[in-house]
Amino acid sequence: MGVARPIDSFDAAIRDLSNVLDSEGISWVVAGAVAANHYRDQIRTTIDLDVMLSLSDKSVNVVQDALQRHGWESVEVVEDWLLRAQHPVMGRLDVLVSGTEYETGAIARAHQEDLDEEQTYRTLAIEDVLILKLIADRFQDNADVESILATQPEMDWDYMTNWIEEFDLEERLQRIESIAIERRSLTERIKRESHRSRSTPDRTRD
Amino acid sequence: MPVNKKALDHFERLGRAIARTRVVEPLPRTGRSVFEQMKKIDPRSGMGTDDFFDGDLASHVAYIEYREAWVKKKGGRGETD
Repeated sequence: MGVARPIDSFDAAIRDLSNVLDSEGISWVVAGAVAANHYRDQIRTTIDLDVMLSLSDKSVNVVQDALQRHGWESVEVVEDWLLRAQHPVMGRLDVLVSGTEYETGAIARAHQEDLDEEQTYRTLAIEDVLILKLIADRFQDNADVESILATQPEMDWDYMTNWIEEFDLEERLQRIESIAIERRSLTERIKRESHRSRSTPDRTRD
Repeated sequence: MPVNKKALDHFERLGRAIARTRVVEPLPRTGRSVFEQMKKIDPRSGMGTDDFFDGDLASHVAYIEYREAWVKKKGGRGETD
């Protein structure tokens, strides 16, 4: 069976990143919304592909130069830590540079995914997607946490709870819990009232 | 490392609470199916927008700032004991 041709920008970007970063000896993983989509209850759209990488002793300029040679235009949004790049065919890319022992570990324990019979890529494990999302704590990050937890996933709870405590994320988790419980109550009320209105005869016609 | 029972309880409660109001699409997903479904929802998914600085940059910067504060609190590059 032949190798599937690139079907879209994501596919092309993954193949290109494998060439660019692997040839530089840089470990990288898919993060952000695309990683979350491997675990969410329902897939959502996103405008970009996020990757996290481990530079070891290299400078972020090595990545920037390598991307440029492959037609990507990039801007260093946060010096040493965050690049945003754009390619006319492969789309938008955010590159987050790891800087802690935790992140190095998260890259090392990432899962391998198949793009096709020959091309693979690595994506953050479910626990690390949740931890990173809890740290970022924006609206969409919290929505991703809710969506992933809705699947009632099997996880490494020791690892998860250790880093939640280490990063002081308990309050953020509690806040998401409160919102989820409030939403559940509202949904149940809507269902009850909707049922009542369907089952009550329309007396205005009498 | 001991399990933080409080956090674990929260995750379990939270998962149960959310699951009652959601429809879960089939799991696990392959890498290819994730990309295909994203493109089905929006063919321009992943392509960026006219504004180079929109999207999830704020989320990334928030993450980096929290990380910086955490590393500073730890007094180093984030190594744990």
